[in-house]
Amino acid sequence: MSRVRSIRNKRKREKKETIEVDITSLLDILVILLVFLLRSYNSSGVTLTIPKGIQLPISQSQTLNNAGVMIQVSKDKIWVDTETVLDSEEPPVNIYDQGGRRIIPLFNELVRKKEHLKAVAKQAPVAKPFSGIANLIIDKSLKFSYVKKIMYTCAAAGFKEYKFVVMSEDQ
Amino acid sequence: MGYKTPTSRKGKRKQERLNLIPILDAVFIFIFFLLMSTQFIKIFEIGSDVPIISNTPPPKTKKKPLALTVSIKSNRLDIYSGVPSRKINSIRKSDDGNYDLEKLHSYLIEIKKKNISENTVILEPIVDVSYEEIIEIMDAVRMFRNTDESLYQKDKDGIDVKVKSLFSKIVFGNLMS
Repeated sequence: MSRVRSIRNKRKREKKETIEVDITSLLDILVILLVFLLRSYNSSGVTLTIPKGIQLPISQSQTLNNAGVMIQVSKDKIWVDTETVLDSEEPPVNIYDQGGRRIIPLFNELVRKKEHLKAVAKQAPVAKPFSGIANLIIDKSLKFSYVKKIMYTCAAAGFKEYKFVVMSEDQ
Repeated sequence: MGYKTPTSRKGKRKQERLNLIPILDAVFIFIFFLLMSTQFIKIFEIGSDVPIISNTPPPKTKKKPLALTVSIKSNRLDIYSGVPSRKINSIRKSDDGNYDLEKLHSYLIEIKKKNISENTVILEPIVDVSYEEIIEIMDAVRMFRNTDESLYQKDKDGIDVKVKSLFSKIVFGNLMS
Protein backbone atom coordinates (compact mmCIF):
# COMPACT_ATOMS: atom_id res chain seq x y z
CA MET A 1 0.00 0.00 0.00
CA SER A 2 2.78 2.40 0.99
CA ARG A 3 4.63 1.65 -2.24
CA VAL A 4 1.55 2.57 -4.31
CA ARG A 5 1.28 5.88 -2.44
CA SER A 6 4.90 6.72 -2.99
CA ILE A 7 4.56 6.22 -6.75
CA ARG A 8 1.48 8.50 -6.76
CA ASN A 9 3.37 11.17 -4.80
CA LYS A 10 6.32 10.92 -7.14
CA ARG A 11 4.10 11.81 -10.06
CA LYS A 12 2.71 14.77 -8.09
CA ARG A 13 6.20 15.91 -7.23
CA GLU A 14 7.23 15.82 -10.88
CA LYS A 15 4.26 17.96 -11.80
CA LYS A 16 5.33 20.72 -9.32
CA GLU A 17 7.25 23.55 -10.98
CA THR A 18 9.40 26.34 -9.59
CA ILE A 19 7.54 29.66 -9.24
CA GLU A 20 8.80 32.26 -11.72
CA VAL A 21 8.56 35.93 -10.73
CA ASP A 22 7.93 38.31 -13.59
CA ILE A 23 10.84 40.76 -13.36
CA THR A 24 10.10 42.68 -16.56
CA SER A 25 8.46 45.60 -14.69
CA LEU A 26 11.37 45.74 -12.22
CA LEU A 27 13.78 45.85 -15.12
CA ASP A 28 11.79 48.74 -16.64
CA ILE A 29 12.16 50.76 -13.43
CA LEU A 30 15.87 50.00 -13.24
CA VAL A 31 16.45 51.14 -16.81
CA ILE A 32 14.64 54.44 -16.12
CA LEU A 33 16.76 54.89 -12.96
CA LEU A 34 19.88 54.11 -14.94
CA VAL A 35 19.08 56.77 -17.56
CA PHE A 36 18.38 59.35 -14.83
CA LEU A 37 21.66 58.55 -13.03
CA LEU A 38 23.65 58.61 -16.27
CA ARG A 39 22.29 62.10 -16.98
CA SER A 40 23.48 63.42 -13.62
CA TYR A 41 26.82 61.58 -13.66
CA ASN A 42 29.77 63.70 -12.59
CA SER A 43 32.59 62.91 -15.00
CA SER A 44 35.06 65.37 -13.44
CA GLY A 45 35.53 63.14 -10.40
CA VAL A 46 35.84 66.17 -8.12
CA THR A 47 33.66 66.24 -5.03
CA LEU A 48 32.87 69.73 -3.79
CA THR A 49 31.40 70.44 -0.38
CA ILE A 50 29.18 73.49 -0.13
CA PRO A 51 28.61 74.38 3.51
CA LYS A 52 25.36 75.74 4.87
CA GLY A 53 25.19 79.50 4.46
CA ILE A 54 26.74 79.60 1.01
CA GLN A 55 24.56 80.32 -2.00
CA LEU A 56 26.47 79.90 -5.21
CA PRO A 57 26.01 82.39 -8.06
CA ILE A 58 24.35 81.13 -11.23
CA SER A 59 26.39 81.06 -14.42
CA GLN A 60 26.23 79.84 -18.02
CA SER A 61 29.63 78.16 -17.62
CA GLN A 62 29.89 74.50 -18.63
CA THR A 63 33.53 74.00 -17.60
CA LEU A 64 34.01 70.97 -15.38
CA ASN A 65 35.62 71.36 -11.98
CA ASN A 66 39.30 70.70 -11.35
CA ALA A 67 40.89 69.21 -8.27
CA GLY A 68 42.47 71.77 -5.96
CA VAL A 69 42.32 73.29 -2.52
CA MET A 70 38.77 74.30 -1.65
CA ILE A 71 38.24 77.69 -0.03
CA GLN A 72 34.66 78.12 1.15
CA VAL A 73 33.54 81.61 2.13
CA SER A 74 30.20 82.51 3.72
CA LYS A 75 29.13 85.82 5.29
CA ASP A 76 30.63 84.92 8.67
CA LYS A 77 33.03 82.01 8.13
CA ILE A 78 35.94 80.84 6.00
CA TRP A 79 36.82 77.18 5.56
CA VAL A 80 39.76 75.52 3.82
CA ASP A 81 38.86 71.98 2.75
CA THR A 82 35.92 72.02 5.24
CA GLU A 83 38.19 73.06 8.15
CA THR A 84 37.15 76.35 9.76
CA VAL A 85 39.93 78.94 9.65
CA LEU A 86 37.97 82.07 10.46
CA ASP A 87 34.75 82.46 12.42
CA SER A 88 33.33 85.93 12.99
CA GLU A 89 31.84 84.76 16.31
CA GLU A 90 35.32 83.92 17.64
CA PRO A 91 37.63 86.24 15.70
CA PRO A 92 41.40 86.17 16.38
CA VAL A 93 43.18 89.35 17.54
CA ASN A 94 44.80 90.04 14.18
CA ILE A 95 42.83 89.18 11.08
CA TYR A 96 44.40 91.40 8.43
CA ASP A 97 47.89 92.57 7.56
CA GLN A 98 49.64 94.18 4.54
CA GLY A 99 47.36 97.19 4.72
CA GLY A 100 44.19 95.13 5.24
CA ARG A 101 44.68 93.13 2.04
CA ARG A 102 45.77 89.78 3.45
CA ILE A 103 43.69 87.55 5.75
CA ILE A 104 46.26 86.05 8.16
CA PRO A 105 44.45 82.85 9.32
CA LEU A 106 43.56 81.99 5.71
CA PHE A 107 47.11 82.70 4.53
CA ASN A 108 48.62 80.46 7.26
CA GLU A 109 46.29 77.57 6.45
CA LEU A 110 46.86 77.88 2.69
CA VAL A 111 50.64 77.87 3.14
CA ARG A 112 50.37 74.82 5.43
CA LYS A 113 48.18 73.07 2.83
CA LYS A 114 50.59 73.92 0.00
CA GLU A 115 53.63 72.65 1.93
CA HIS A 116 51.76 69.46 2.84
CA LEU A 117 50.79 68.80 -0.80
CA LYS A 118 54.36 69.47 -1.95
CA ALA A 119 55.77 67.11 0.70
CA VAL A 120 53.32 64.37 -0.34
CA ALA A 121 54.26 64.83 -4.01
CA LYS A 122 57.96 64.57 -3.09
CA GLN A 123 57.52 61.37 -1.11
CA ALA A 124 55.13 59.59 -3.46
CA PRO A 125 56.05 59.85 -7.15
CA VAL A 126 52.58 58.71 -8.20
CA ALA A 127 50.90 61.55 -6.27
CA LYS A 128 49.80 64.55 -8.28
CA PRO A 129 52.08 67.58 -7.89
CA PHE A 130 50.76 70.77 -6.30
CA SER A 131 48.46 72.25 -8.97
CA GLY A 132 48.26 75.77 -7.56
CA ILE A 133 44.49 75.77 -8.10
CA ALA A 134 42.27 77.49 -5.57
CA ASN A 135 38.61 76.47 -5.88
CA LEU A 136 36.71 79.49 -4.57
CA ILE A 137 33.27 78.57 -3.22
CA ILE A 138 31.95 82.01 -2.34
CA ASP A 139 28.50 83.20 -1.29
CA LYS A 140 26.92 85.28 -4.06
CA SER A 141 25.92 88.16 -1.77
CA LEU A 142 29.50 88.95 -0.68
CA LYS A 143 31.04 92.17 -1.94
CA PHE A 144 34.04 92.31 -4.25
CA SER A 145 36.16 94.15 -1.64
CA TYR A 146 36.04 91.00 0.53
CA VAL A 147 36.43 88.60 -2.42
CA LYS A 148 39.49 90.63 -3.46
CA LYS A 149 41.08 90.04 -0.03
CA ILE A 150 40.55 86.29 -0.42
CA MET A 151 42.01 86.34 -3.93
CA TYR A 152 44.97 88.41 -2.76
CA THR A 153 45.60 85.99 0.15
CA CYS A 154 45.51 82.99 -2.23
CA ALA A 155 48.02 84.68 -4.55
CA ALA A 156 50.27 85.60 -1.61
CA ALA A 157 50.19 81.95 -0.43
CA GLY A 158 51.52 80.78 -3.80
CA PHE A 159 48.35 79.81 -5.67
CA LYS A 160 48.45 80.77 -9.34
CA GLU A 161 44.96 79.97 -10.57
CA TYR A 162 41.50 80.76 -9.25
CA LYS A 163 38.47 78.65 -10.08
CA PHE A 164 35.22 80.37 -9.20
CA VAL A 165 32.73 77.62 -8.42
CA VAL A 166 29.31 78.41 -9.86
CA MET A 167 25.95 76.73 -10.23
CA SER A 168 24.55 75.88 -13.63
CA GLU A 169 21.53 77.90 -14.73
CA ASP A 170 19.64 74.83 -15.95
CA GLN A 171 18.86 73.25 -12.58
CA MET B 1 -0.73 1.58 -33.94
CA GLY B 2 1.21 4.03 -31.74
CA TYR B 3 -0.17 6.74 -29.52
CA LYS B 4 -0.62 10.12 -31.24
CA THR B 5 -0.65 13.36 -29.23
CA PRO B 6 -3.91 15.24 -29.64
CA THR B 7 -3.59 18.52 -31.52
CA SER B 8 -4.99 20.51 -28.56
CA ARG B 9 -2.12 19.35 -26.35
CA LYS B 10 0.52 20.18 -28.98
CA GLY B 11 -0.36 23.92 -28.78
CA LYS B 12 0.23 24.00 -25.03
CA ARG B 13 3.99 23.71 -25.47
CA LYS B 14 5.71 25.86 -22.85
CA GLN B 15 6.93 29.26 -24.10
CA GLU B 16 10.64 29.73 -23.56
CA ARG B 17 11.56 32.88 -21.62
CA LEU B 18 14.74 34.94 -21.71
CA ASN B 19 16.86 34.67 -18.57
CA LEU B 20 17.06 38.28 -17.38
CA ILE B 21 18.74 37.61 -14.06
CA PRO B 22 22.38 38.21 -15.22
CA ILE B 23 21.30 41.49 -16.85
CA LEU B 24 19.56 42.47 -13.62
CA ASP B 25 22.73 41.74 -11.65
CA ALA B 26 24.81 43.92 -13.98
CA VAL B 27 22.26 46.76 -13.87
CA PHE B 28 22.24 46.68 -10.05
CA ILE B 29 26.05 46.97 -9.88
CA PHE B 30 25.97 49.79 -12.42
CA ILE B 31 23.33 51.66 -10.42
CA PHE B 32 25.43 51.50 -7.23
CA PHE B 33 28.46 52.80 -9.12
CA LEU B 34 26.45 55.67 -10.62
CA LEU B 35 24.81 56.53 -7.31
CA MET B 36 28.24 57.02 -5.78
CA SER B 37 29.38 59.40 -8.53
CA THR B 38 26.17 61.31 -9.17
CA GLN B 39 26.03 65.06 -8.77
CA PHE B 40 22.48 66.17 -8.14
CA ILE B 41 23.38 69.87 -8.34
CA LYS B 42 25.16 70.87 -11.53
CA ILE B 43 28.29 72.73 -10.47
CA PHE B 44 30.84 74.21 -12.83
CA GLU B 45 33.70 76.69 -12.65
CA ILE B 46 35.06 79.87 -14.17
CA GLY B 47 38.82 80.05 -14.34
CA SER B 48 40.99 83.09 -13.80
CA ASP B 49 44.76 83.45 -13.61
CA VAL B 50 46.58 85.33 -10.88
CA PRO B 51 47.98 88.55 -12.38
CA ILE B 52 51.77 88.66 -12.58
CA ILE B 53 53.55 91.86 -11.67
CA SER B 54 56.86 92.23 -13.46
CA ASN B 55 59.30 95.07 -13.96
CA THR B 56 60.70 93.64 -17.18
CA PRO B 57 59.38 95.22 -20.37
CA PRO B 58 57.04 93.05 -22.48
CA PRO B 59 58.57 91.25 -25.51
CA LYS B 60 58.57 93.35 -28.65
CA THR B 61 56.13 92.14 -31.28
CA LYS B 62 54.96 93.62 -34.56
CA LYS B 63 51.32 93.24 -33.52
CA LYS B 64 49.98 95.88 -31.18
CA PRO B 65 48.65 94.36 -27.93
CA LEU B 66 44.88 94.64 -27.56
CA ALA B 67 45.02 94.92 -23.74
CA LEU B 68 41.24 94.88 -23.51
CA THR B 69 40.11 96.15 -20.12
CA VAL B 70 36.58 96.37 -18.69
CA SER B 71 36.44 98.79 -15.81
CA ILE B 72 33.36 98.37 -13.57
CA LYS B 73 32.23 101.72 -12.25
CA SER B 74 29.20 102.71 -10.17
CA ASN B 75 26.96 103.73 -13.08
CA ARG B 76 28.73 102.39 -16.17
CA LEU B 77 31.19 99.96 -17.69
CA ASP B 78 34.20 101.59 -19.33
CA ILE B 79 36.11 99.68 -21.98
CA TYR B 80 39.77 100.43 -22.56
CA SER B 81 42.23 99.11 -25.11
CA GLY B 82 45.86 99.47 -26.18
CA VAL B 83 49.14 100.35 -24.48
CA PRO B 84 48.99 102.99 -23.06
CA SER B 85 45.37 102.35 -22.19
CA ARG B 86 42.77 104.37 -24.14
CA LYS B 87 39.02 104.49 -23.46
CA ILE B 88 37.14 103.14 -26.47
CA ASN B 89 33.58 102.88 -25.14
CA SER B 90 31.40 103.50 -22.14
CA ILE B 91 28.23 101.50 -21.48
CA ARG B 92 25.80 103.11 -19.05
CA LYS B 93 23.57 101.15 -16.68
CA SER B 94 20.13 100.33 -18.09
CA ASP B 95 16.92 101.89 -16.76
CA ASP B 96 16.34 99.04 -14.30
CA GLY B 97 19.61 99.93 -12.54
CA ASN B 98 21.57 96.90 -13.75
CA TYR B 99 24.66 96.88 -15.94
CA ASP B 100 23.73 96.64 -19.63
CA LEU B 101 25.38 93.28 -20.26
CA GLU B 102 23.66 92.77 -23.62
CA LYS B 103 25.28 95.94 -24.96
CA LEU B 104 28.64 94.93 -23.48
CA HIS B 105 28.37 91.47 -25.03
CA SER B 106 27.48 92.83 -28.48
CA TYR B 107 30.32 95.36 -28.33
CA LEU B 108 32.83 92.69 -27.34
CA ILE B 109 31.72 90.53 -30.28
CA GLU B 110 32.56 93.45 -32.59
CA ILE B 111 36.03 93.68 -30.98
CA LYS B 112 36.46 89.91 -31.28
CA LYS B 113 35.70 90.06 -35.02
CA LYS B 114 38.66 92.40 -35.46
CA ASN B 115 40.93 90.48 -33.05
CA ILE B 116 39.88 86.89 -33.61
CA SER B 117 42.89 85.25 -31.92
CA GLU B 118 42.71 87.39 -28.79
CA ASN B 119 41.32 85.67 -25.68
CA THR B 120 42.35 87.81 -22.74
CA VAL B 121 40.34 90.47 -20.96
CA ILE B 122 41.24 92.41 -17.83
CA LEU B 123 38.44 93.10 -15.34
CA GLU B 124 38.83 96.05 -13.02
CA PRO B 125 36.01 96.46 -10.50
CA ILE B 126 36.42 100.01 -9.22
CA VAL B 127 33.24 100.05 -7.10
CA ASP B 128 32.24 97.47 -4.51
CA VAL B 129 29.87 95.34 -6.60
CA SER B 130 28.52 92.01 -5.40
CA TYR B 131 30.18 88.72 -6.33
CA GLU B 132 27.02 87.73 -8.20
CA GLU B 133 27.29 90.80 -10.45
CA ILE B 134 30.97 90.02 -11.13
CA ILE B 135 30.00 86.50 -12.26
CA GLU B 136 27.28 87.94 -14.56
CA ILE B 137 29.82 90.30 -16.14
CA MET B 138 32.29 87.42 -16.51
CA ASP B 139 29.61 85.39 -18.32
CA ALA B 140 28.91 88.25 -20.73
CA VAL B 141 32.63 88.61 -21.44
CA ARG B 142 33.64 84.94 -21.68
CA MET B 143 31.15 83.10 -23.79
CA PHE B 144 29.22 83.19 -27.02
CA ARG B 145 25.49 82.63 -26.76
CA ASN B 146 23.51 80.33 -29.00
CA THR B 147 21.93 83.34 -30.70
CA ASP B 148 25.28 85.00 -31.55
CA GLU B 149 26.64 84.80 -35.07
CA SER B 150 29.37 82.20 -35.55
CA LEU B 151 32.95 83.39 -35.98
CA TYR B 152 35.65 81.36 -37.71
CA GLN B 153 39.42 81.50 -37.69
CA LYS B 154 41.96 79.69 -39.84
CA ASP B 155 44.04 77.03 -38.10
CA LYS B 156 47.65 76.14 -39.01
CA ASP B 157 46.43 73.91 -41.89
CA GLY B 158 44.31 76.73 -43.33
CA ILE B 159 41.02 75.14 -42.30
CA ASP B 160 38.25 77.36 -40.91
CA VAL B 161 37.64 76.49 -37.28
CA LYS B 162 34.72 77.85 -35.27
CA VAL B 163 35.74 80.17 -32.44
CA LYS B 164 34.29 78.69 -29.26
CA SER B 165 34.75 81.47 -26.72
CA LEU B 166 34.72 85.26 -26.67
CA PHE B 167 37.36 86.45 -24.17
CA SER B 168 37.72 83.40 -21.97
CA LYS B 169 40.95 84.31 -20.19
CA ILE B 170 39.92 86.68 -17.42
CA VAL B 171 42.48 88.43 -15.27
CA PHE B 172 41.59 90.76 -12.40
CA GLY B 173 43.65 93.87 -12.97
CA ASN B 174 43.49 95.67 -9.65
CA LEU B 175 43.91 92.65 -7.39
CA MET B 176 47.36 93.49 -6.06
CA SER B 177 46.68 97.20 -5.55
